[in-house]
Amino acid sequence: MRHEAADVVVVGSGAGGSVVAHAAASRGLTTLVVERGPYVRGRDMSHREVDMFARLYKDSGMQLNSSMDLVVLQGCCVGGSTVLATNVMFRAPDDALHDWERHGATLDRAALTTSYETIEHALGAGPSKPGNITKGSRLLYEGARAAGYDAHWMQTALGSCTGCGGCNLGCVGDHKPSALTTFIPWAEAKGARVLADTTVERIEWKRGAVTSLLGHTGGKREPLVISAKVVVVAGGAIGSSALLLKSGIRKNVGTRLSFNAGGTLLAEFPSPVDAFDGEQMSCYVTGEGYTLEPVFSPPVSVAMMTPGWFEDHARLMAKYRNLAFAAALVGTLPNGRVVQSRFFGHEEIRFRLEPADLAKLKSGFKAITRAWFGAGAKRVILPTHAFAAIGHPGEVDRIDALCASTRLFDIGSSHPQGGNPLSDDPSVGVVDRNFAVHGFDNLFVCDASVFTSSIRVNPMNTVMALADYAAPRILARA
Amino acid sequence: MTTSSFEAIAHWVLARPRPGAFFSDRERRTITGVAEVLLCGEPSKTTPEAAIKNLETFLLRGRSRRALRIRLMLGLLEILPLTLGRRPFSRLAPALRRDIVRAHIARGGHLWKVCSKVRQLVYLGAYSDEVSQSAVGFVQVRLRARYQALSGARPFVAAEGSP
Repeated sequence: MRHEAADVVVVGSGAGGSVVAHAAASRGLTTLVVERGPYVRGRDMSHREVDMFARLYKDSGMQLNSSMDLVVLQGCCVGGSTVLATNVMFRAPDDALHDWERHGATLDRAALTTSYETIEHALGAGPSKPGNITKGSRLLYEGARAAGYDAHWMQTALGSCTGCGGCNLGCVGDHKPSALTTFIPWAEAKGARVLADTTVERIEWKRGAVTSLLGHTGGKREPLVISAKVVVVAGGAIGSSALLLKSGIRKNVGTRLSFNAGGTLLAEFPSPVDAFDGEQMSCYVTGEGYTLEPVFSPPVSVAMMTPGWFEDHARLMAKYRNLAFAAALVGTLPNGRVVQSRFFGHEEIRFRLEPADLAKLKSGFKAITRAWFGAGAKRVILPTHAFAAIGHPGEVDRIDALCASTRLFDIGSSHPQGGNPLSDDPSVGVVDRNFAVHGFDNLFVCDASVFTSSIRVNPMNTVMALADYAAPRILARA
Repeated sequence: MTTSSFEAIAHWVLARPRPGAFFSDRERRTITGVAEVLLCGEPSKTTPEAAIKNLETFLLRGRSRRALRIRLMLGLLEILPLTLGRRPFSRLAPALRRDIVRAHIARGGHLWKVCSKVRQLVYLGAYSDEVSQSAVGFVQVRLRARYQALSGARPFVAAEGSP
């Protein structure tokens, strides 16, 4: 049995946990970061998709909801999902934060803005390097504008990016400013310790105070007991709720789970696009309730995302160089739930796309289709189970019938949010304005799970800014 | 029912893999039978057997508790043709296997839909080696002229300081 002790224990090392850990260590507090996944530095990463899926992703990238129609991608490594992010630096839209406030989330908006500025400065946010923008991104941008949509270039934080197109596989050489290359090593330089390959199975608590954390560490699963003055749960949406549920902390836990969920549409162009050669995404298009983003990957991911069976699939793969993908993302209603499955022994994600979200998604699909045709695509292939191609802009309205239900096509999300909503109303929230779990003195949650509803855009910047905002409020108890 | 009871039942139901393998022999025959018909005509240069070997290496390296469900899915796929009055999937001739994949798995009704996830697994194995990736026109990062010029770029952490 191994024993550890610290002033502050942070469970999870991603966008939220890394920032809080750095703040704690900067204040001279003994800080321990516990991470379920491995510590994989850039020099130990590769561009081999299957190796990185297996090493860096939760469930090797095979996490699905209970009804098996939503793939949920999350990191499981030191640095969490930031290691796999494209480092798009959106801020939460005002109306999304208003919605949080309507549900009891009290935030000092001026302080949050300062935190955004701190994070954006720390990560070096700015426009993409023109040489790293792929032809796929340029085609979506130009096609969308030609079709009358509102297209913009993204703010990203890609450091000394070489434009290899492998952001979703980590970052060989540590060029990207993820938590792995910034707040985690910065925290370690100030004395924080990181225990990788370590799982916290349960929080022990009594009368509103955490007494210890129980888990195991290393390949041999050595039993572990950790004591701390302050415990910050930052295992991400889904993981943090799962830990609280396993620990018998149930009130509102797992509720208001939402996603930036979407489907990808594939365009076939008459000549090579080579969309793999450069940043995975550099532009975005906004519309009524949806955001469009280009996305492209090396062949394993493309083969898995490309619709069709047999000759339909084979013909498209043979045209790999001529393909480009774009995703339509919608911020879903917070009707999802994380539950602890007694049968399977681990957390399950309960989620169904509501008709209102489906309508927005279909609008997004139509916008992508028009944008791709505006850019000169020969045809656009829908993400439907039965192969369906749109061969002409005049056929766009077929999307209504072809995508009438999520039973007919695949959706996915890399942006789960909620599960431990932030609200001063204890009938709604899990954590209060100081990120403390209602009814607890020394237990906090600080990650995407505190989002009261979906912010509709890539959340990394907001999770990190929220952690910067939360840190002084949390550490005041330490 | 507890955590261990589900896993215990699954391990009891499923045939034991050989040491160092993810799939049992029967499961490997089932998924190789899918790969044989699914990869026919694909630009991938990987044989069905090699694709499944790649997949197995991936599954062994990963840390997913959900991976056990893949074995359950293959068990289901093996016996579902019985409901059509056919022999188990791996014992069918390739043409019949192709018909079943096309008519049932690809259309995704009820339990067949669960089995449709096998498609992604086969493609993962088929395109995970460099020969197959080159065959579709993908250029490995290390071979791209732009990357070679930039590969000496400093890591971000060396260039920035803590806030």
